[in-house]
Amino acid sequence: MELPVKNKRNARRVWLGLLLWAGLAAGLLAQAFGPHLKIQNNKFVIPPSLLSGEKEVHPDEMVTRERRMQALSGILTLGSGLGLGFYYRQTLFPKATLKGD
Amino acid sequence: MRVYKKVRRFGSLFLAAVVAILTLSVMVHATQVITTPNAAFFTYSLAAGANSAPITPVANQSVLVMGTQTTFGFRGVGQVSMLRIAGSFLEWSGLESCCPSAITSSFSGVAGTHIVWLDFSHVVGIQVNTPDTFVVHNGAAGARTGNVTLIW
Repeated sequence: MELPVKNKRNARRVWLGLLLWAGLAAGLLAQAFGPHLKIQNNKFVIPPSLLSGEKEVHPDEMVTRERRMQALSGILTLGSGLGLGFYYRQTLFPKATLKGD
Repeated sequence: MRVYKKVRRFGSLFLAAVVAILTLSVMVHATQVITTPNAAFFTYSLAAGANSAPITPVANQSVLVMGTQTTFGFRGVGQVSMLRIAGSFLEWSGLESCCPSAITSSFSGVAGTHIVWLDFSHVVGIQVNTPDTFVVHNGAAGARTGNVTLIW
């Protein structure tokens, strides 16, 4: 009777690990493919190519989008990073875990 | 067996360090973006008679629009506080570029209405484009460069 319970627990653990790695990857991807406005002298620098074009420029929307992407990326990366640290705590800190046990 | 264990441990520590560095760098960048105030900086480089792309300020709140022309011999600086009523008009109040400097204030949604001069000669300035947008217009005979900052 114990075996299926243990398998279930292991499967859940594997899924948790995968979820954490996926979260980290999503955070890094959001960072890599985000709008990336340059910041200079505490101001967002709008690319000059946008101002020389014909298209309307909405600086407030650009800044809001950048902030949203960075917040999402930060939350995903930090959450997953901490989660992974906890998930692999036995591998990373074997002695400390033994002492704790 | 002992070597294998050591390699495995080194590998896991290395991976942990990589994850930690990536997480920290993302967090540093995210924090910088989130804490930067609502200010946008544009640079323009316009040929004679050219307009920049239309810029839409935030609606229903004051926006400080300040601009500088940096072309040697024609440098200047001007600023206005602007209000946009979406779909209706732009309203502004501020100070023209030197010299002489003068108060500029009005409201309009008509394309081409002068808002503020940015240069010494009073030929390069910000003007109304649509009721929701403004442009930087170069009315000089040659190319002009400078920048515009929006704070909201």
